[in-house]
Amino acid sequence: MTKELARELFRRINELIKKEADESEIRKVLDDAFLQLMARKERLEG
Amino acid sequence: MKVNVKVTDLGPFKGVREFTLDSERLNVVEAPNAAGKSSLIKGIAASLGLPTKRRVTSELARRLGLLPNTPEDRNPLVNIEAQRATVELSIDGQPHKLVALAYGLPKVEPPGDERFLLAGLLLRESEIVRHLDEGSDDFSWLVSTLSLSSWYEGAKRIVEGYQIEARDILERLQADKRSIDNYQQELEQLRAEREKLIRRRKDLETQLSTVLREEDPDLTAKIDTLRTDRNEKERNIKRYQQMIADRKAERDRREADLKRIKVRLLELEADLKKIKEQLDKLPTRREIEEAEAEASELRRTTIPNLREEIGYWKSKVALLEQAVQHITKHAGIVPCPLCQECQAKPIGLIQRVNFERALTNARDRQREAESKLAKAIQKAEDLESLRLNVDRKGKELQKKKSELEAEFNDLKGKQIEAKEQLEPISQELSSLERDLLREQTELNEINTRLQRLLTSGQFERRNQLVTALRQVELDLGRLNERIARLESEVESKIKVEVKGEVVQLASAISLYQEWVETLTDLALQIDDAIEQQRKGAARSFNARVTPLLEEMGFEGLRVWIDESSYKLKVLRGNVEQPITSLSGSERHALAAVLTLAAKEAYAPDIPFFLVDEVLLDFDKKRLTALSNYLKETSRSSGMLVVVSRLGGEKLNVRSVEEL
Repeated sequence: MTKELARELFRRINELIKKEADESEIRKVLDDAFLQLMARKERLEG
Repeated sequence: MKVNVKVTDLGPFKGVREFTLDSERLNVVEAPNAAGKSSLIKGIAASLGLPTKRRVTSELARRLGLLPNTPEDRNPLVNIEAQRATVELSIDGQPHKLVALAYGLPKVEPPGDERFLLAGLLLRESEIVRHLDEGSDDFSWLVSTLSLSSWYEGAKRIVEGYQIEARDILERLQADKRSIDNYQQELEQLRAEREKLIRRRKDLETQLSTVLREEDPDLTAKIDTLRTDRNEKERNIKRYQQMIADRKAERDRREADLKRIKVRLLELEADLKKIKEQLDKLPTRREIEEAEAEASELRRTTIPNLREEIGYWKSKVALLEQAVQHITKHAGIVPCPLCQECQAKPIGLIQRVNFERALTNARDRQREAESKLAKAIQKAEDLESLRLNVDRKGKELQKKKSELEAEFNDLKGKQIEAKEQLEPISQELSSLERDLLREQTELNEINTRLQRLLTSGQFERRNQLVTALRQVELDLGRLNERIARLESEVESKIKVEVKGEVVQLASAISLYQEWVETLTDLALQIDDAIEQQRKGAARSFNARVTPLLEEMGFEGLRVWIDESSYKLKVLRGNVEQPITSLSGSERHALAAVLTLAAKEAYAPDIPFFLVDEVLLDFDKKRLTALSNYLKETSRSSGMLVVVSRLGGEKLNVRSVEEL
């Protein structure tokens, strides 16, 4: 699961870099990914 | 290509001046000292290379004198008597405007390409010149800045920040887990000890009963009654405790349900927001009509024009191929086979290399036109199918939105229902806790009365037993207190708050372990990307350096950026040499080669190459070689070359042939 998430994060960061986006957008992607991971684990643990 | 330049209040020059730059010639900015040559070149550079987004290129722009050193300083491009300077360029009909304010950041419309500051400018302050002047062979900054590697490095720094934070939190959570494990181990020991004390109390009480029975049968009966009452109270207390635990578990279950509903509602809200944004982003009816009009224009004008242009280049390629074949057949240097005038009146000799370059250029232009045609056809098709796609996408999004809204409303109902079910459980819990307290108070009273009865006699044996019993009760009290304190410690640490949500400690540890693993994987992938970018950039750069060195007459010299250390390697003959072994003039000539290589590798789409002062250090042979190369490149590729020269009485732009 972590490898899959890391790959997805890299893909999204790659897109942002190619768009020369601001660093705050990379932080937003990482913050969102943590919340997603948290929600996914909560669902799995029921 | 011709470019009109209009400058106002730029550097030492006050007022408005207009110049025309032409790619068919080598443009020379000629002026006496302090008349504005460098300001004109820097003004053009600023209008093409600012604003910079990256820290490293912002510093370079300051060093080049395109930005003030600090926000409080005066902009060096603005005339001392003016409040602003402007540089206006018109490239292929596209206006570019720089407005440099005396104080504050300049405004550039459209925004420039910061790579130009490294790869399109050859000044004394240029980064490549500076490094070679200092004898530095570290060129990792060049591959980092011109490729995307520095952006990946920025992303890596952010990810590392997140890694440090996540590891700190994980270590703290694991320390809490170790404390809890220790507490629980201690609790197990204390509970076993309590069991032992309870057994000891029972034993002492049995012995005391026997003694008391022998003393006074009535007293024994009273004590027995009180013991029966005490046992009953203790049973009641256990029952209440069990009921409270059951209700609490029930409450926790329902609260977990509510939390799940809340999480799902948040997800649904986010999904609905995304769908709304997508719906808002769909082109409007007017935009669709505009797209259809644009498609029609493409079909009517652009596509036929491009087909015509391809035909033109195809015929030119065929002609040039014929010319090259002709020259190859006659080898070496021959009269021009194309020019009509040559047959009647030979006008001179043309080098074969010029034809080959013109052929390459014509093929490039043909390919470029073909690529533009394919793109135009694709664009026309895309624009024509826009209405259909928008309708289909709109319907899909509306359907998805309705489904999500239905689920959202259903869950909202369930949330209200779950909240309503939680309320009676909380009330029942309060009532049970009150009952438990009452039973505990009554038990304490019974124990006091029992103690009083047990201590009423005079016999030595009985007193010994009572003292021992009291000691056991005291030890039991202390043990219970310690157990309660530890249980409370465990209770306070077993749940933690993560991003506003209360979760079990074990879940939080597992969450942060996965997050740390994810960030580590991500950092490794970014490292790979950095390495790929740097290697790719070094390779493109090296591929252009060797032919340029030959062109500029550097015989027996090999220069390249090493693909693992990113150091600039210089080989003369077969011997590696430090940069410091090159003479000052040689370093500047090499800087010109490296800057041109960087320009061709990383910024071929910016049709400018600006040179100021550096040429003054060149010997005649190198100056001729560079001038010839620049003239030829500007003619064949349409690149505008501007160089400065000391001379004349006032600021003027002329062709090198005129001088």
